[in-house]
Amino acid sequence: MTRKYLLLILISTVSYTSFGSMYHADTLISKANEAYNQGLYDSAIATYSLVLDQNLESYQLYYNIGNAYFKKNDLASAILFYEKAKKIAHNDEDVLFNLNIANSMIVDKIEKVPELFYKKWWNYFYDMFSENMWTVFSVVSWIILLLFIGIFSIAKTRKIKKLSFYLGLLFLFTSIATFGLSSQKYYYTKEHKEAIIFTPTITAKSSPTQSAVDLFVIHEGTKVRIMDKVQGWVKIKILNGSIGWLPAESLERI
Amino acid sequence: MFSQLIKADEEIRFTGVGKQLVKVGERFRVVYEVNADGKNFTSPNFGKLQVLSGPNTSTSSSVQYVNGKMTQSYSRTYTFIIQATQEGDVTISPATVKVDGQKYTSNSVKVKVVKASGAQQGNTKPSGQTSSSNGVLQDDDVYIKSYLSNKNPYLGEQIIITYKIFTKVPVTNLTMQKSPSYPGFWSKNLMEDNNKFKQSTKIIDGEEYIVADIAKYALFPQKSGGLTIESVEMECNVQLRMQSNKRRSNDPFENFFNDPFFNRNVKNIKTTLSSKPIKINVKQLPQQGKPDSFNGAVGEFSFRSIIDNKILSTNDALTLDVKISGKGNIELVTAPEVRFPSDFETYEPKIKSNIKSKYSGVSGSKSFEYLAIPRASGEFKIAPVEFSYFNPKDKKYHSFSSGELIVTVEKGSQTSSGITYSSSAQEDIRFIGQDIHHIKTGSFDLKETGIFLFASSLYYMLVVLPVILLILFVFMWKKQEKRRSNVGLMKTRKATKIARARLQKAEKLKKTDNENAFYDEIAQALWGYIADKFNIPGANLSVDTVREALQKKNVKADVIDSFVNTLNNIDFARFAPGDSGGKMDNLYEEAINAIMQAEKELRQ
Repeated sequence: MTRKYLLLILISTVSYTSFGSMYHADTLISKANEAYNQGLYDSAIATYSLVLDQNLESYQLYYNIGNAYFKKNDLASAILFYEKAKKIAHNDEDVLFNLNIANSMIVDKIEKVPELFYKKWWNYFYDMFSENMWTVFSVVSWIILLLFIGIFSIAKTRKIKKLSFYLGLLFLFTSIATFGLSSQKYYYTKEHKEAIIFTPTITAKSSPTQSAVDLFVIHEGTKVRIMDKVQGWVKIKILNGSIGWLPAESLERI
Repeated sequence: MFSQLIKADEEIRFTGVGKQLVKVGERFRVVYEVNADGKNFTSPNFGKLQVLSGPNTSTSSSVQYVNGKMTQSYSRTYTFIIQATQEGDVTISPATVKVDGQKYTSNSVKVKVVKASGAQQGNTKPSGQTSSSNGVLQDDDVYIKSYLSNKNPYLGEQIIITYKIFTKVPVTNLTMQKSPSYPGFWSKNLMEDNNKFKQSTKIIDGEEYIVADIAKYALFPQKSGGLTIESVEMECNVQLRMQSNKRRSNDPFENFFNDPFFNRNVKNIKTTLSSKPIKINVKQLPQQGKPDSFNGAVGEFSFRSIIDNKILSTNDALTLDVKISGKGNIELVTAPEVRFPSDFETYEPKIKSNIKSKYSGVSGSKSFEYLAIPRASGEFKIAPVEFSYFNPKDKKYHSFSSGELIVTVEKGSQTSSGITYSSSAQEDIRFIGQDIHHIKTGSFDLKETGIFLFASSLYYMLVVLPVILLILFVFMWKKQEKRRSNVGLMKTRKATKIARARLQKAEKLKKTDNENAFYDEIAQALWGYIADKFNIPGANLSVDTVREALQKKNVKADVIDSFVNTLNNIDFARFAPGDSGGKMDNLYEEAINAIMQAEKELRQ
């Protein structure tokens, strides 16, 4: 009985969405899509933004806004919204394709530092599912682990004890891994650790003052990772590993 | 000579004409004309007016035949150039002339001399020194004026600028110093072909000017806003007659040679004339109603497109001829876009233009020949070719469209007759352009922002609750199990004891020869042992369940057999009378043996 009940709770969490003002949002979206198809990109963006104003989001919505900005030739905004879409849906083909095109049109071409193999594997899993999905997985594997612990503790025969012990060990590892993934994803999503440069040209400084030494120049549309922030300045890291300080208003968080 | 030709009925007229209103210092002409060969002209009395030159005599004659009838005209004019020196009314007395010995008198000419305005007063030269006769050129003797057809045109609209020369004096060698450049305009010379100037005479302020168009340009403004048409400069030689008035003696010869007719004392003065710069304001083309195909054509145009072959076979050439003709900036018209299907091999259009620059402006036609070769068969649609222009007259855009062209391409003979099918006909997919993927439609998985399952209260509940449930479950299970196993354990431990007690009781009964009680007791000892040992309720006891229970515990088969045999023997002995003492001894031994062996086996 208890097991069945738990399963029900889990299923309900998967479809854990808010249905408030959904209908209104749908009509707005179809209106905006129409405007986009007619080439009225400004009004399409304005209408999509009305949906965002209702505190609703979806990767398709971000993707469409990104497309509208792209058509307006506003590459930085387009990349920002594609990245927002990618944050929710990592493996959507359209999002990745368009982001790739937009990235190929910006000024900066930064070589990515090669990653260590285990980090690559980790990121492979990391990109596979969204924060919610990983959380669900970690909860499910946690419950399965507890089940095996239960079976182990009440088992009479050696065989069952042995089997449940090894299976429990396996699920201990999976629940640790999925917990790690979901917590990382949660902090990454919540903290907005990545940002897009919105100033056409900006010089990264060695310290958070205007008089500091100029380190390197980056341009509009480049993605950076935010490491730290002080009064009006943020410490950023670009893909090739270089670190510098930028004025906070020169970038927009994803 | 001419007088003899004059018919008797021809009336002799002798008239004098002069300007009626002049200003002080102004020079003007007084002309006397007689329509016959006049002689002995006597100059009139000019009073207060000063004669600068004259009388200058000129004659003209013409003979005309109209319908066989001959008409003649003859005229002789005597021209005086007069300068007014004083204000007031002056009546020039009649002049006389003799024709065929007869004396004719002209009318008197009235001239009113008024005060000159300030500006002109400054221009006045001291009396007796006129510039033209003195070899000094006056500003109004010769000048250039420019005329613009429209000072407020649209961007790209054709405007025509005409430069006219106004001259009172003979002018030669008129050359443009530099061909005019028009920054901000695209220009076209309209007088390239005809170098002859169109001449006319015009009276301005009572003075006769020769007017000629010297240059004409069509201008097309290329940017909007305020633009300046720069001045043009022209160089020319002006011929001025000289009068040596230093020695105005009474020498008759001198006077004779001073007569303008003989006056060969002509001075050539090189002078530069320039027109005034003109400021114009170029209007932006209206945004409203601007068609997509608009390419900057302004004027009045017509459009025609002809496709030579609507049904053709593959690898045959197809020509689409687009012709645009009309008035306006036709030279700037670019080739309209023709989108052939991608299976067509296309080439740059061949452009032929026939543009004429006439007096009235630039017009002509431009034709674009598009050549395409279909490489695949099928029915193809060529998107409509569109052309649009702005007509500044009605301030509207006009568009033309060729309409959708449908071309049927049949399989060419080359491919159909080919027997070998090679894979070389296959081609890679050609990417014609790159664009982002289209927007997503359909239902969006909208979800409220900032809501996460991780670290939410639901999440904590889902993590903690199963642990509590598990602990509770395991605890309950253990407790229950303990309770159940306790009863069983007691019974098992007691089983041997009870069996032993029963057997001791059976031994006593054997000695008292209580046969039935003995059998009961010994059977109870064996059955009860099994029931207690394996927790089997009494009702379920049978030979089979005993065998089964012992087999489950891996008891040896011969031990089970002897146990079951003992049970059977007890039952059998009970109902079989005979030597009771020996049977009871045997059975007793057998039962003890069975229980001991079973106990031995079960302990292992």
